[in-house]
Amino acid sequence: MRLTVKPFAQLRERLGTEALELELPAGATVAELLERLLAEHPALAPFRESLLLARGAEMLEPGSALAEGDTVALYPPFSGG
Amino acid sequence: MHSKVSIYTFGVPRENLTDPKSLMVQPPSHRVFTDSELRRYARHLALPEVGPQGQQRLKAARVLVVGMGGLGCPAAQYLAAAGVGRLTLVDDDLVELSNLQRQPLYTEDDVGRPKAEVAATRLRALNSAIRIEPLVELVSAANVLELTQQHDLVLDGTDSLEARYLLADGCYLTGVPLIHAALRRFEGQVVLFPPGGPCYRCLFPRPPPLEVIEDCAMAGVLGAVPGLLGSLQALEALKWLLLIEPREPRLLLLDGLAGTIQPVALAQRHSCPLCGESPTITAPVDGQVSCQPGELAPEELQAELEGPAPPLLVDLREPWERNLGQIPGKELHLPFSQFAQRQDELPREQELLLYCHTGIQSAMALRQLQQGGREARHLTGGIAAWLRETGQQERLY
Repeated sequence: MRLTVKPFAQLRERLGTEALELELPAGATVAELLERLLAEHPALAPFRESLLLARGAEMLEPGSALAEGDTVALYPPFSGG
Repeated sequence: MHSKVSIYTFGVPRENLTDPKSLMVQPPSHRVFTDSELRRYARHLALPEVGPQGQQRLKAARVLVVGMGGLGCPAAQYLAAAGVGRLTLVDDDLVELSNLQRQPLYTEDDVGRPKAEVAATRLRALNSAIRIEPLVELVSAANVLELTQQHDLVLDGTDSLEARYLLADGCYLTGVPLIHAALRRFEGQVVLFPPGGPCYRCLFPRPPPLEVIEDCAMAGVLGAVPGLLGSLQALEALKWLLLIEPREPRLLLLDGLAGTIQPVALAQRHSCPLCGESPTITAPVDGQVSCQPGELAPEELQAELEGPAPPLLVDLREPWERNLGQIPGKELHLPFSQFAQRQDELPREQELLLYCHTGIQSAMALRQLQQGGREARHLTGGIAAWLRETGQQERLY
């Protein structure tokens, strides 16, 4: 199935793109998506345990199932104040 | 001075007005405001969601605001104006000229004075009927639990992930709700974390390493962005205190360029290290954002510079920043933006000390050198920490 990942804040600059398109086996979970992203983009490695994934108004957990055409937003923690 | 007291009948349901008992004088603790308070809060009293009972709730509330910067200024201003009865303002920083661009509680005359104290003075002038306590200190593992449990609600307006994790852990461990706000350039987050979870670690289980964390000094910020987020934080805080729905845990994501706010419903993560099924964090700890070898503290720099073998300073800042002051000594200038391409030009026979504005870019540059097998050190906190250490606050930017 085809997915779009939209990185936010400094992740956009780390990945050098506004949106990533990728292909995962049907029924893949968020944990599998994360593993794929981390394997293909070493720039994400420092954020391995510091990433929030959301689909629209829904926060995703590692076990959440993904579906064809999903757009997943990827957020790092923000620290400025 | 004897203050004039009115008994009013706002909030009495219309159908009860025919019942003479409903107009009886109620116990003063619940139904009495001074005339001046009635005038001051007239626009609240007119709101069906607030009314006199809500105003009384605000008056009884104790709110802790940590960080009196770009977020804390507007947040505390709206809470004080709204009549929150007790506010504690925590910040160990002094007002700097570079704060005035986005922290409108402070003026040019305040530069060099403690933010918490200046803010308390300004807010007392705005509302003399509430109690405001400034605390010029840093939140640490030693004081966070005591601070949070003395309050009904905590607002996080700090500017470091270290403080944010500490405050989130402290609030969860003491069962105090937390309204978190944070930003990066034009984007930001405001989150309500209720007692019992979900918590901050359900979103971001552990902090990333220090060298990838940015603060406003490094990333840059347009003042209206924290202004908007701090106001949203105050709105979430007032809604929580007034029991106004929705009160579900949620994250508001601001995209200041697109002009959108995306709400995201929060879910408790089973594997959360703080509020999950088998928590590993059971007490607040300092130093959660990991450090790396090769750090030099600003208080150690002077001795090194005056010692027999002073290090070669490598200034990673942009040319405009160098006009604002430099650390005196033998030095090289290599802007961070060119570091990756030009790091091989750094002399190998000398001990290098990298420095930047706040110590973040120098930590990143050091990591790059170490990955290439080279040794060097960097100045923690950058030239800003050194200027503070050597009493040159007026040169901070």
